[in-house]
Amino acid sequence: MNIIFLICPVILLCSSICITLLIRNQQIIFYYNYIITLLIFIIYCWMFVTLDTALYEIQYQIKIENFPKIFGDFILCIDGLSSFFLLLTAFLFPICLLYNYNKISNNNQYSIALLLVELFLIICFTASNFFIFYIAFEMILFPMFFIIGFWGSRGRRIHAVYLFFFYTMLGSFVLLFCLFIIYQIYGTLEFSHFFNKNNLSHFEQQILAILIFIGFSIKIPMYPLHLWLPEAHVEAPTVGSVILAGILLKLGGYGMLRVLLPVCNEVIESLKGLFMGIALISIILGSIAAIRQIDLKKMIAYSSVVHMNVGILGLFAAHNTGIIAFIFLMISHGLIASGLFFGVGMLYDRLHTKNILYLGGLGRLMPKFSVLYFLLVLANMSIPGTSNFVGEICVFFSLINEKVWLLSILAIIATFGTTLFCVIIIIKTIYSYLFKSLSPVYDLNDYELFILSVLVLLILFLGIYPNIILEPLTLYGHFYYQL
Amino acid sequence: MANTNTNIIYTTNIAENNIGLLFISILPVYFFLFLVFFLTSQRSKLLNVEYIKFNNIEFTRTKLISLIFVLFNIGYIFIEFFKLFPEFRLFTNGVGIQFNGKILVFELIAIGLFISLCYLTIQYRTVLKKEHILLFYFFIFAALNILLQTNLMGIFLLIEMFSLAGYIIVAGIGNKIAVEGGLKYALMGMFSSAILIIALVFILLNFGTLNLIDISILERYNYLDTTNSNLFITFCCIFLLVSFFFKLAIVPFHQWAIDVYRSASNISFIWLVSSSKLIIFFVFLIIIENLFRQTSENLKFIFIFAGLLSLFIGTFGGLIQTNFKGLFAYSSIVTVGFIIINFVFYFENPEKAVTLSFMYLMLYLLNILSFFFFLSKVEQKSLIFGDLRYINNIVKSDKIVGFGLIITFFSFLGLPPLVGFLPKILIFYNLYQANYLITCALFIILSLISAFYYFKIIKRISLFQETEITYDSTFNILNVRKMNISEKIIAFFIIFLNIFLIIKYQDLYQQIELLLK
Repeated sequence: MNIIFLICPVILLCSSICITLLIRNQQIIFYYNYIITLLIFIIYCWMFVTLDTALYEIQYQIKIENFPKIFGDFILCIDGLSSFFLLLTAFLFPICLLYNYNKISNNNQYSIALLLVELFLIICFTASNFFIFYIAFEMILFPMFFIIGFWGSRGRRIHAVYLFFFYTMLGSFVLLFCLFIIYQIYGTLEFSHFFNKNNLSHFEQQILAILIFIGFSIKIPMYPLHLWLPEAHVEAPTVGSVILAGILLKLGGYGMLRVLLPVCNEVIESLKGLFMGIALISIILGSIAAIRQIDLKKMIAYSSVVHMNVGILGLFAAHNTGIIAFIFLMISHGLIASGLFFGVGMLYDRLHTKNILYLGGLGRLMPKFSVLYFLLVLANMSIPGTSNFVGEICVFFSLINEKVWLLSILAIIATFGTTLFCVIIIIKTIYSYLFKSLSPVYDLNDYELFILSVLVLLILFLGIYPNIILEPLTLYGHFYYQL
Repeated sequence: MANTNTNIIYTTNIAENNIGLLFISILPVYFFLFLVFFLTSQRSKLLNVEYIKFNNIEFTRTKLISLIFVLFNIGYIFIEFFKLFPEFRLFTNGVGIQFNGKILVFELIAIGLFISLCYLTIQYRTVLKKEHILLFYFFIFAALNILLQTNLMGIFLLIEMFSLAGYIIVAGIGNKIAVEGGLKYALMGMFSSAILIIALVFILLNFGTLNLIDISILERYNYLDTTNSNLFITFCCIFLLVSFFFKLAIVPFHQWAIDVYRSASNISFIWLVSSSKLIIFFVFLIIIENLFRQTSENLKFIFIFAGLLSLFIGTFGGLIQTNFKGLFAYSSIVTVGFIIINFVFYFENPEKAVTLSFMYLMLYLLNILSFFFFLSKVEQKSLIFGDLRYINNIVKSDKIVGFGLIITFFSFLGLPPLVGFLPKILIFYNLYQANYLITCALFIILSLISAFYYFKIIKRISLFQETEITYDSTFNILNVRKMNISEKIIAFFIIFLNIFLIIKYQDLYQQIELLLK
């Protein structure tokens, strides 16, 4: 079992990378890679079903020999928390490959970069050790540099690459310093040891907490270190921004759950105000900034800032439902934001613009697209019945339970901003007058229809029956709450 | 710490080591025979014919290939000799020779470096004159013999010979600017040698001998008056350090390096930046192993000061360079900063300090050689070519060259799957562990800034966009030669090494730690 769930995906991905390097024929490569990524998805589904939901400890683990043992052994493991993120990763990549099929920009190097991202993400989420997590976290920069730099659309992509690269490097160097401190305290970097008590003084723990928070908040992203996100999203190709919004932003949240909460649990109570205040500022600023944008991708990028920060409010509410809601929001945001970016990408392939001033009346020309996109935007608005609604409601419940009245009222008002720009997106693209130049546009292909409908169906399913994820998560909520 | 291995083999009886004497004496004889052969064989009465005969690519290539074979042979002799005599000393009273496992490692690394440098010189297809190749012979001869010396006077003389060849190599190959650079190099090098002489005089005053073995024995059995001589040895060591800082271009003694490197021609730049750093670092290791036992720990602050300053100046100086030789001058200052900071651990844990700095220098040299290997495929306009604009958008011309350059620069930058990452991390961690918190934080921040200019080159290689201001037709017609199969194999090997050395890093580290004992 350990070998199937932990080693098999890595070996399968390596095999498909090798085949992509060796064979020139694009058809064969596409089918091979697509089947491999689907296989990995099936493997992780199987893993998800066989997980014991009554345990929060490591369930599958394997030790890999012949690796440098600098900060501990190289151990890969799966527990309840990482299983969700692995499932999300494995779910999104076959869709990305399918979207890229038959595109002009698609070539072998592009597929290699995508497969490398998946490989590093799997290592990142299965790491049992903070050091391996950190290495995989930085390794993702390498293929992402190629994806944004080479297959991005416009000239400004270089600026975006710079911002993406150096914000992330800054965060990872701060984390490196924290890593040294943690290694000095515990003598090990295994995540499971972080729950033990440490002998730092109160002040030292506060500084450590702030440093870790800075390191991970760049990835989430939070004000004032969020500027790389809209740039990178706008300049990246569709698949690149799907991966960014879908999974890479979740690395920050995952890291906070793994490191920040266990190590600094004694001082979280005193720093809660600061962290939640920053999250609130980024919600308000994000929704205001999103309203003013004319680029569709930038709007969605700011909306993802808003949603991730709503989740952060739940995380630091330190209530049992808050933490559950944070994880649930991350997963639902991964689905919704990637669906929205796919939609924008499909529009861009047809019209070669993302500017909402040049769009309008697409409901008459592209009925299938309009229905699905309308549903996705509604989900982004967190209408009841979609998955985002469940997460946000849980966050606000936990905030009110904690009796932080002012903050919860402000947060609820600020999330109305998201409703505003979602309405703007719908009006400007699907309704309104039809431009004459748009008339030769054709509707979705079969496989594009498949991509969007799968995402929409999943979002609706999670909205109607959220217990499939919430039930295994309750254990985690209790566990972190008891800290 | 002092009395770990008291029973050293101290051989004064030459009769026992006759075969060893024979083997060691082969080395100069080899060189001598080769020189005679070289000078006498190719004489021609007609001057014009001689000019054609001696100044073409074929001539350079054959001579350098023969030099490569000589180097292989010398390496083989060293290994065979080590099997016979693992610990060997000769004429230890005067200017003597010693040979053991540690020196074997140093010699083999130096030989490997020289072989790859000869290969690169062939790759660059520059036409070298007869005299230039002779200079390379001198350079290699001096470099391989410095490491065998036991006497500080012998080390001093051979360093002079080594750097004399270096000055003329810089001045001789290239145009008038190179001559100016060579003159600067000669002046500053002689100044640093003068400081070394002062240090030697003080050492002679204190110990009464210049023999390193005698000095270590005197220190080991405490023949010296400790309280007084401790201070005096520290005083000597400061002079010694200043001289070596000059030669390694560590801040605040770095000013000559940038001018010299920038004005040097390509070939001489490659020879200088790699081999002089390596050889002088090895000599430094050999000397301080015997001298630093009783010095005061106040020397730590010199290392911290020098390391931090060189990192600072290396990072901020490199940001505005448009010439890659100037850029690598600053980058080598950063490297030297990373190397010299490790010697703060030398007083508690010498093995760790030596191993860390050794690894860092090795991997830096690997990267710099691979950079010049890939650059040799770009068609050059002149010998002094060094403008970064020549490598604009090289990925579009040739994918292997471009990707190899990108990998090399990511490795310089220190991104995880590549080898440049772990030595940096280990240095940071050891600094943190030894409670140099602020130094560690400053190192991390400055290495982030130095990442910026490596990233600028990566951008230039892969994503450069021409505008009307930057457009220049001379740089735009880029000619990249196609690779042979053998060159392709070497390129893939370099990329492979860059990615997969990190997996075997632990073994490598332990092996080197073992070898350096």
